[in-house]
Amino acid sequence: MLNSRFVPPASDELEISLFGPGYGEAIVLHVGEGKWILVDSCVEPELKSPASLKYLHDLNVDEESAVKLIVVTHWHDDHVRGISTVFEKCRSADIAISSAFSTGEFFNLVQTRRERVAKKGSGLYEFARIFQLLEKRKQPGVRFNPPKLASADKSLYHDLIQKTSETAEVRVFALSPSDASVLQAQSAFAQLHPQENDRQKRVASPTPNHASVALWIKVGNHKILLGAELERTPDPKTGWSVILSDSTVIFDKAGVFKVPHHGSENAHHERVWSELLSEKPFAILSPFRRGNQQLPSPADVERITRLTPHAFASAPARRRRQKWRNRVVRDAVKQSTRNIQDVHCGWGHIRLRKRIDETSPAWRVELFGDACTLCSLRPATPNRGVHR
Amino acid sequence: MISADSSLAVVEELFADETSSYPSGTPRKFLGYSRGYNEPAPVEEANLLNLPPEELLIAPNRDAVDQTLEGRVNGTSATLFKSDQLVFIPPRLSTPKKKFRVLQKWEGYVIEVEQDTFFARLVPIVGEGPDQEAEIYLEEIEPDDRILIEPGAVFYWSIGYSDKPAGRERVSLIRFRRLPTWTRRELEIARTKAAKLRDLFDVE
Amino acid sequence: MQPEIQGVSIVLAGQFNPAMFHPAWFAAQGLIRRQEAEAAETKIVHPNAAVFETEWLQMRVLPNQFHAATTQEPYYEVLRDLVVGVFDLLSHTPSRAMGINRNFHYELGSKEEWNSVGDRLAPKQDWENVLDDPGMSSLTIQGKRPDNLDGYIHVKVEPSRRVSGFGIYVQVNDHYQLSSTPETWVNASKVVDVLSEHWAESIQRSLRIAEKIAGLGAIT
Repeated sequence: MLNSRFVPPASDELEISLFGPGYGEAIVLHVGEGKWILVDSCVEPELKSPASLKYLHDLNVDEESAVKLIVVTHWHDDHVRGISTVFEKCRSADIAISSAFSTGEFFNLVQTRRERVAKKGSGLYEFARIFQLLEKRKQPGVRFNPPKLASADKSLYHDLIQKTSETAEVRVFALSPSDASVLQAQSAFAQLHPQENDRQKRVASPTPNHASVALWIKVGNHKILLGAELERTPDPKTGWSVILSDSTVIFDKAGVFKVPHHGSENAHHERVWSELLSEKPFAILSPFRRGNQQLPSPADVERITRLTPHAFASAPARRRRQKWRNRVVRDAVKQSTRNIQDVHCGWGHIRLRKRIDETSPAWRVELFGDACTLCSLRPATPNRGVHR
Repeated sequence: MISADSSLAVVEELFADETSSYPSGTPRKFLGYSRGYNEPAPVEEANLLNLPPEELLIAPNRDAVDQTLEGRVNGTSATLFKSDQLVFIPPRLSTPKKKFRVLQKWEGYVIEVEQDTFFARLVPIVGEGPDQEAEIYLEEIEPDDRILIEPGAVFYWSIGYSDKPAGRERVSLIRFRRLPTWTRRELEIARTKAAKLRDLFDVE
Repeated sequence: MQPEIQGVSIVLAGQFNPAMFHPAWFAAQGLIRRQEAEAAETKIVHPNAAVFETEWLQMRVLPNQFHAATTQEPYYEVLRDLVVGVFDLLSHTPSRAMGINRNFHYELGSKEEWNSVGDRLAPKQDWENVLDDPGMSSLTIQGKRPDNLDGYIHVKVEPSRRVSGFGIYVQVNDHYQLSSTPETWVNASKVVDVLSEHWAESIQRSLRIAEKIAGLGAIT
């Protein structure tokens, strides 16, 4: 019997899939008629290939023709691993990047900090490759689609999908960054530029991510809000505040929410939940661990599960310890480190599907790999399960 | 044995330069010879400079030249060369006495530096396991490298065995990457390249 | 199968000024530790050649060849970084070609296995008609590059003289032709680009080739 994971969506079926290894995430959307949209990228730990491409391959989807849009909302290390390969393979896709990435300050950062040798996981290396691919594609006499620049209320994609009796409109809008956020991003990039006599090194990814691109996606009557890494900021002209006050593209409320910044408290905005999301939306997120930071924290889990029972994580945020088979390695690691853990907390895939003309708010939810309900991450709560 | 038919090479007037690190009084003319990696082989003069270095040998003083003439340098036989063309045949590199068997190797980069440790991401190059995040003791780092420890600094960590004539020992070796610092000229070149990226966003 | 001895070298054909390649210069540029420079065994530094060794590095520079090598696996990436660093600084050095070369010495389990490698690579039937007791003493095969770069891959296989018992030596010369013709030159910044982009796959490919050849003896 064919594994249900490899059954592609029907032509009139909407799908949102989130993949997450514990660092980085990738979102794959089917918007009908075999057309796909990819957001960001991560790499499956065992296979080391971009998760979104692997998934499309498993579904027998030809990525070269079927992917229509790739959106890059990040530049941080490990959050866009493999995105340049995704762009390379999806030859028919337009690429949309944050407008903050089209500034001289960002170009300069890519040229100086792109990491020529220690490349794995380097976001700037991925961008350097994307720019190289764009240069190669930009040939005289050949039609060239420059990257779309995502900024507040900018339309990135528009299509009409034929349902059984009528057509459904598909729209993708960027909600951010605002002009003020772009300025802050530029300033942050400029501070990372090396100076004369500085050593060559990997650049640390500063927070908050002012360049972050939140997306509002409409397919027929369904709305999806992808929160990227957008945070709640004190400046009313940035972050969620400016979207809530100024956006002109948000109509109605979203039934699916990709919780921003791994569910962190500083990305939580009460008004987003009350004004932009339907009651008890389907909420999805990927976890994050770096050093002592764990997201979502137990408090984040508590908060989100109070807001909706339909909340899912691509993996639990708990770290695993590698069991070294070789005792020489085991002993050396034990001697030299106070602590050592696997970076990723597991590998999971959350998939939501429903027919485009379906009116009920419910989604068919499937959890694969280490994906679990957020409720199961509350202290003293037992297992995850398939949620229907 | 000198081959009468082959082209030969001679080093002449090489050590006239006082700054050479060879001892003074070195004769101005001496012979060199070529030895194949596994077996001796005759080499034509035109090819001498294109030989891989391990195939080139030098006779560093007159005694060794005499021995070379007798074909007895280093206990091997050799074909000798002589010509009027100036050719320099540099000294041979020594055979390393240490063998290292790597069991695990990571490329790492520093995330955060604390009082007596630093946090780092480790990406495996050799060996088992996925990416790791480790808190490494600062005292594990050679004093000469400690100045290099800062967020973003790249290093390599190898664990394995080292086999020396004295015996086998376990080794754990962390070495920080050293690249030239940024110069003003390089920064300007980077800025020029960066400016050209703007063309990618122009609609034709 | 693990090699008994292995090493990697980066060799460049170009125009170099050997006299500047003194260990102290490397230390002054921050490319090696000061301690290493002070402890280096300098055989010669002269306008026509520079040869020195540190605990892990073997450096030899001639007017038309730059050669950096190590036989210690923990330093393979360090070696690459050193060469990247040198030609970052000397980016205008005229260059023509580069080789990322690996040497492996494997000890095989038995004489049969050792002979089997030779028989697989150079079948003896035809040679037995012209020679008495023929045996393979050296074999070189050239293949195309698997990427879109100019150059080739050379593999040489011989009996090993460094390994006791029955050993084979495999040398993989991963050759990159940097200039468009053998008579022209490019800036050494191209060396840096190729090393940065292709190092990991070159190292892995050479190892795969060597392991495959060393494993031929075990196949029945």
